[in-house]
Amino acid sequence: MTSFTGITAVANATNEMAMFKQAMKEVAAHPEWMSSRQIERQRWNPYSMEGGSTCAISGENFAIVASDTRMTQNDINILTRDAEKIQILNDNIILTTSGFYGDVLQLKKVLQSRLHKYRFDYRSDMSVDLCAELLSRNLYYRRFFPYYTGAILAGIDEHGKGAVFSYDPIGCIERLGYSASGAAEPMIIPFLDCQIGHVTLSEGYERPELTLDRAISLMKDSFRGAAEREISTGDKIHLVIAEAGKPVVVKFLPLRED
Amino acid sequence: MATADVKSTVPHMDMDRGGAFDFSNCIRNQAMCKMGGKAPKLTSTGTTIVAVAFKGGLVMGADSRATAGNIIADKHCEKVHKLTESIYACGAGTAADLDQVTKMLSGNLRLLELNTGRKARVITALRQAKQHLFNYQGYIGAYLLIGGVDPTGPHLYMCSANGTTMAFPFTAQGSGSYAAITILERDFKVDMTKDEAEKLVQRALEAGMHGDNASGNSLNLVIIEPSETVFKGPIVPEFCKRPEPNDLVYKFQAGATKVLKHKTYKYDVVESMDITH
Repeated sequence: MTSFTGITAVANATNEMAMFKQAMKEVAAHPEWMSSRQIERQRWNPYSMEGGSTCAISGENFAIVASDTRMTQNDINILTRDAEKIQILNDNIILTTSGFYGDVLQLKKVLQSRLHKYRFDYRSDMSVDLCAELLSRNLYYRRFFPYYTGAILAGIDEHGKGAVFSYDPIGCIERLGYSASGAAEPMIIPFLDCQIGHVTLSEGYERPELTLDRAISLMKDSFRGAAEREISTGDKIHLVIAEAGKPVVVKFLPLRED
Repeated sequence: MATADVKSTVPHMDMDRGGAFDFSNCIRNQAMCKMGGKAPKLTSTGTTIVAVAFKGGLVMGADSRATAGNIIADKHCEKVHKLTESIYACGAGTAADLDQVTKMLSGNLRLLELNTGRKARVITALRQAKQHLFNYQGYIGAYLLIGGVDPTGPHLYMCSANGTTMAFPFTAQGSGSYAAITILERDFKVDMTKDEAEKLVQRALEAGMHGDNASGNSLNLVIIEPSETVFKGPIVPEFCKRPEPNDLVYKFQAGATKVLKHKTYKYDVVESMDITH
């Protein structure tokens, strides 16, 4: 029985070796001396990325949204230290978007005008669940020339509960407890997985309740941590707090500027 | 099998360049990329480096941030390299290239000093660097500010990766050089005092660290005069400090992490050592 698997393994290895030898021959005949940068330069690209990070956390009766306010060109150059990436669409819907700033602004404009029309047609504000679906459809409408953005929609739903919806650039939607997008997403998500998702915490271990105060502290700390190690995140935290039955609160907090 | 046969059957490209670098893996690596492998990326240090000449001496300085893409790889790296007692080099570009080039320069200059019994000149360091870099046609990504004081006076040179060199009374290099040079252009005067020059370099570096994402954290200065060389740093400017501390304390109690698997190994203790002190 062992000989059977052994033969397959040998056959695979020989096959792979033959493929490698073929690749060596091809490359030796036509070495690819053009650098990846030169190849990249030849291709037209209508998109750019202005850096920055955004994050949202939802709780039992609240949702908080934050972003940094730095806008960056080519990862290096600072364009402005007061860029707003959070839009308060109505009393219980907050949109935060990172990525290509041109599309961030366009997406904001599209949603604002749709919400405006909704108020005319139905004489009430749109709910966050409905707006989430609307945003998803708007993104997928541009399936083959997408808005180059990572959007997060947060707010208070019809039952008074906090809601966070996370999107990819072409409208894949997911309702989550917390989400982040942008340059520091790979740093913030694991932190929140640990502190809110408790994904590594052993059974029966004490899990602190996610109060509004704790969520705000975690949000601030995740941006402080990201600003330490991610170059396009910094300057200020733009923090928006939505609590059921209360008006939306907006705050700005300092971050390191280097 | 004769050597000629081996050469005809095995894909081979002769890329020898006098025994300096070994290019023999070039073809193999391209073949591996073709089979779906991913090539590793180089660390390029976005930087601010500044140097200014004053009456009788030279001030040079650099920030201390090293980046790998958009991640800060090192917050406190040393970009002011000592070549001799009175010649220093600040580097921008590929971290490994800078380390190796400055190491080579300092070694060669020391040998020269020992052979001649005199202090090496800045122009010698410059010529060594430019000939090495020109040889490699810009593929060694080292952008240097070489400066110092020798018996012919204070000198400051810039040497770019392709071997171009220029002499300056003041200059800045790296991704933060645009912000830094504005300060230098505004405030530089011929024959400044040492204190004025030191303040100017620090201001220029701070501008670079503030306006450029890839520069920051802290700065190092070296002040070179015929009589003595003083190194200052790391200096942390006010805007490079964290404005607020963390809200919460993230300390994990023992047993907080889920244990997935237990395995016990038994060892016989043959010899032990006290490492408590």
